Amino acid sequence: MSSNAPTKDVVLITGTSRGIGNYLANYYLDKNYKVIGCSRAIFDIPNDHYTHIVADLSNEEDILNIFKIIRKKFKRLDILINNAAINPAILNVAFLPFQTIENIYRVNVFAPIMLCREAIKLMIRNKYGRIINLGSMATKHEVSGEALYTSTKAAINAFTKVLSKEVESSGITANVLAPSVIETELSKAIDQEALFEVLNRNAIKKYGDFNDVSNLIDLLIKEESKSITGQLIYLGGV
Amino acid sequence: MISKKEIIELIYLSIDDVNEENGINIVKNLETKLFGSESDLDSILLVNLIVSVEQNIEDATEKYIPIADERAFSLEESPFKNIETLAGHIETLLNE
Repeated sequence: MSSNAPTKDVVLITGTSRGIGNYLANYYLDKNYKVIGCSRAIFDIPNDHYTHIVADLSNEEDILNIFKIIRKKFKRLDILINNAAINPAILNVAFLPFQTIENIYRVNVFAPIMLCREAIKLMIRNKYGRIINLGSMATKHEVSGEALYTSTKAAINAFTKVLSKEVESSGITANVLAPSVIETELSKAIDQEALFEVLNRNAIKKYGDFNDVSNLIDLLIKEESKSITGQLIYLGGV
Repeated sequence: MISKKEIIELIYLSIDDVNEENGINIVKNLETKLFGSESDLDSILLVNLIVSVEQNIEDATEKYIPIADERAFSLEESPFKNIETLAGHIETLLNE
């Protein structure tokens, strides 16, 4: 590790096999962080500082196993980035199957809450931690057909705000970063016409970049950013 | 497997840590109340204590048990009532 490497350096990022999570894993590996990533599929990043855990985040046992490995291998966790999310169906509320509702809530809501629960237990030990939950501009734009996905992200917004109050005295901050649309498999699966109709409501009407996300995370995870907590920060002029 | 007496010792070890870190004096006694109006611990101190106990139990047994599971909040007598009930709850979890 280089001499200017960060001292608060163990980061867990969910959903690292693709998209924003993959970008962030590589970005923080390049910055000498020890990165733990997870995805449902077998995956790896060829870097000694990368640990990949195959996990289905809709399964509580898999989430507990992630932390079992972290406790054993690293004995600490400094940063949690809850990135993984699904948006399996853009449907009018009248047509939402129960199974779809349950699946999306398991991954987008239950999992980040469980991950925060286990993460703060490790962070409290060191009186330090940074939690970033990925939100969505959908909670601002309230787009038809996106009620289910939007409601999961709204739940995370509210959860994070309350969490920040509970953990403040332990040196832990918790914030929501809501990116604009970034070209990923998730965004490509959405009707492009509808997507650009929504993007046109932003001050910045084009796709966002991955480095917009890492730029803000860099700020939020700084040790000096101890007073930035309980915030919902939108990117792209939402 | 560890005995209830050893579990109590691990809880006392955690109390020492929490007392030292926070400049307080939680009394190491089986009757010490951990939760509710008669407890000297606020919610943050209780979280700190439970996190430390989970860690000490894991170090001693290599088994991680989330102490605050569903039953912890549905049992008639809360495991957080006092140190003795907490030790009993942990013993039950370890025996599963």
